[in-house]
Amino acid sequence: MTQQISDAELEIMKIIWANPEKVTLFPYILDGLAARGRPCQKNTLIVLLSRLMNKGFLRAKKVGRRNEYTALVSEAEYQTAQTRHFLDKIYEGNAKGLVSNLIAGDLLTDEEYEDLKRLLENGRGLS
Amino acid sequence: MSALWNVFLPMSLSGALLILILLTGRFFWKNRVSRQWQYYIWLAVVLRLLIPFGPEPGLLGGIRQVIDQAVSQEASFQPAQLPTDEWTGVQTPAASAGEHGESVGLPQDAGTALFNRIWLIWLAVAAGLLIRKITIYQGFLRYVRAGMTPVSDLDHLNQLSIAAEQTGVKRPVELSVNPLISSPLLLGIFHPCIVLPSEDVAANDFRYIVLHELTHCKRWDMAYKWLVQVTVCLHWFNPLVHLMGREITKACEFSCDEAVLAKTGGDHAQDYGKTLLNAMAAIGKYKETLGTATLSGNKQLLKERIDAIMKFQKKSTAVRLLTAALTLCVLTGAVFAGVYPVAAANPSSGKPVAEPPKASTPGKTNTNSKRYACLAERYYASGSLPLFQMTFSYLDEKTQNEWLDRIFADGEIAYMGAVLNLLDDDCPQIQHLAETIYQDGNIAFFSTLTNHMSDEVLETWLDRALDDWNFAFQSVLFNALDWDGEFDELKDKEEKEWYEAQKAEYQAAGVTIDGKNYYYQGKLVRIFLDVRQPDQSFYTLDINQKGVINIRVIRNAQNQITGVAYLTQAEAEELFGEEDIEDLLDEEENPLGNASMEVTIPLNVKTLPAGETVCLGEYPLSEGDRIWYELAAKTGDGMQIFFRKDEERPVYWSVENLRQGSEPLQCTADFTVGPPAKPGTYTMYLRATNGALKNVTGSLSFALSDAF
Repeated sequence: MTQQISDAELEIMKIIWANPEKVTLFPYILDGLAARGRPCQKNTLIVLLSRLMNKGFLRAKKVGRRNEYTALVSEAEYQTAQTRHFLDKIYEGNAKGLVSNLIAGDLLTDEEYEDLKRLLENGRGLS
Repeated sequence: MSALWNVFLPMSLSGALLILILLTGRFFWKNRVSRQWQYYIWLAVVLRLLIPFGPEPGLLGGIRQVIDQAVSQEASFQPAQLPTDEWTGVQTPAASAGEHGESVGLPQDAGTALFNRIWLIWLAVAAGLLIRKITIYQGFLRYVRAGMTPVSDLDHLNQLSIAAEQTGVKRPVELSVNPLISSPLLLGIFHPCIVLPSEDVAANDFRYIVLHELTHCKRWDMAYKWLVQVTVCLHWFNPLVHLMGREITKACEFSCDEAVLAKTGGDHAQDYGKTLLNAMAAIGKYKETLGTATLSGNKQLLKERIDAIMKFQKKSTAVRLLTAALTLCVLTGAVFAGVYPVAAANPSSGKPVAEPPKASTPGKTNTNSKRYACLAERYYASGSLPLFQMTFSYLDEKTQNEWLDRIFADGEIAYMGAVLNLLDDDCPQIQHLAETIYQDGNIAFFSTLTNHMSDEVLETWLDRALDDWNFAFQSVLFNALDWDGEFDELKDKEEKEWYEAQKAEYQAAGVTIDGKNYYYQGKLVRIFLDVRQPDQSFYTLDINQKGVINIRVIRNAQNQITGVAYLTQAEAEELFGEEDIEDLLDEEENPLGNASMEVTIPLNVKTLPAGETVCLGEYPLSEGDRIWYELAAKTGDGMQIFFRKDEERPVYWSVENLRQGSEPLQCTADFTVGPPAKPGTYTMYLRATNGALKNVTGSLSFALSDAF
């Protein structure tokens, strides 16, 4: 999953990921975008959703006259894929470089740094 | 298969004819008629070029016959084993495609073989061209799609959505950018996608570009364009069709510009023109724009377009009406330009169409009449008399007869007058109609008809009317003959005899006739009705708006007058229907009309005993009316004429005379109604002042003021 999506598309994905329901309906996304301060025209949303479907991020099931959207890619999957992409592109796959950069660039707060340390000591993987 | 070609050639010809008409017409309506109309009217031609069906042999059926003839003549120089019908492939059922294969094997002129195969060449070229166009388009699509990135800027996408709503495009429209293309364009028919050369466009430009492309999308211009491309491919041999293709591409952009401006309003013309110019700046990277809708094609066209945009204005109603009329013309033209008969085009119909050339003429007229009959129907329904009149002259005799009957049945006397003017005097149609009307007894229509009859015919009719004792028609016919200035003394005598007999008959019953006026008991009759027995089929009905009483002549079963009665309101209503009675009553409120006119009423009193007074009728008078009377008595020595409003009021306009020696006893006066006499209804009286009066005759005249 290396498809890149635009910011606007990501916004939509975030709304769908954040939705506790299994399927998401069109008005829900429209309201969600407005709530996030990025109001969007109906047609725009239709275009963006169809792009997401083409990229394999979404699936739409037609029920009556409305579409039920389901995410095909989870948020975690997307994040991992994006991070890997980022790692490959900037650090040539070297995760250490990324972390040291994060620390050196003061991008991590002390708290976050402690959390990470504990995580490493207790075992592998994120909870 | 060659039959297909045989349909195609005439189709191409009739199409070419229409194209020529539209191309010529363009110079007249270029800036006058809506650009959108100029664009869509081509659709009629395209459909004519694509749909091989038409009503029977059309206008070109005749031309086709001529071609066939010419070809047959040419082909008759060929050896006998090649029948002339090889060319048409339809005159003998055997001449099917399979037979062609065999006949080619025979030793014969190579040119003829080629001629037989011409449809194959045509089809091959058409298919080749179409395939080429499609591949070029696909190549172009690939080229554009390869370098295309979807626009993710929400602002632009939202603007597009708003524009889509504004133009009414329901399908979702994609928006992409491809720096390799030269000007904005629209791809795809079902999944439209607007491609911009760059995302970096001024907001205003973006709006117009998107509006323009969405308008293309909304109007299914892509489908139209492809339809035209298919037409051009099929008619590749017809240069006019190619010309049409180019013309439609142009018209498409013009009409799209117009549609955009109609949406945004004419005051945006300048901005819109600027957008076009900006889009032009980057022209010329990829030439092929076939099958796509670009914002701007080439510079010459752009100049014209900007010119048209600046001249944009909403079309007036008059122009719209004109446009509607033009559309009707072109459409009927397209439908009736026709193709070679469908039956002939279809060999499987099994019926060889071996019509001799001369048979084509009636066939053609027949179709034309059908067409004109349709038009006549339409114009009649829409009440367009001048157009109806024009069409009528093209109808054949039978149809004209039908129409005459119908117009008569509908009582459309205006139409009747108009169409009668088109017909020759005494033509069979008029004879036919006269018969109908005579049977029906409609005098009004018959008298219209008499203007279109010669004296000889009128005389035959008169003889018939005389035989039938049909007085009403007799009088109409006498009139008609009189107008023609050839006064037949015999007829005159007969008429006079009838008239005198009639007059005497009425006189006996107390009704006096003076010219067209009827009087009863000294009063002018408004409605005069005399229904003759026994079958009540003939009657005399006279309506005089100025009259004051309604009377009816009563006859017994022997048709003798037994008396005169006043018509009751109910009877009058039955006679005319309520509405007409209303009209008459309306008239009564203003009984003297509004024009200054003179009325003379004859007065006649046989005897009046000495000292007695007799009433000579009631007259509504108003201020300014001039009245003069003149009465003379044969015997008696004194008479007085006076007017009175009612019994108590003073007497007006009184004249009293005594006989002076051998001078005749008479009263004359001439006065104008005015103060102190007030307007109103006055009764005229005659009094015998000195001895009994006998045979008092004379008249009373009015000159009504136009003070109303």
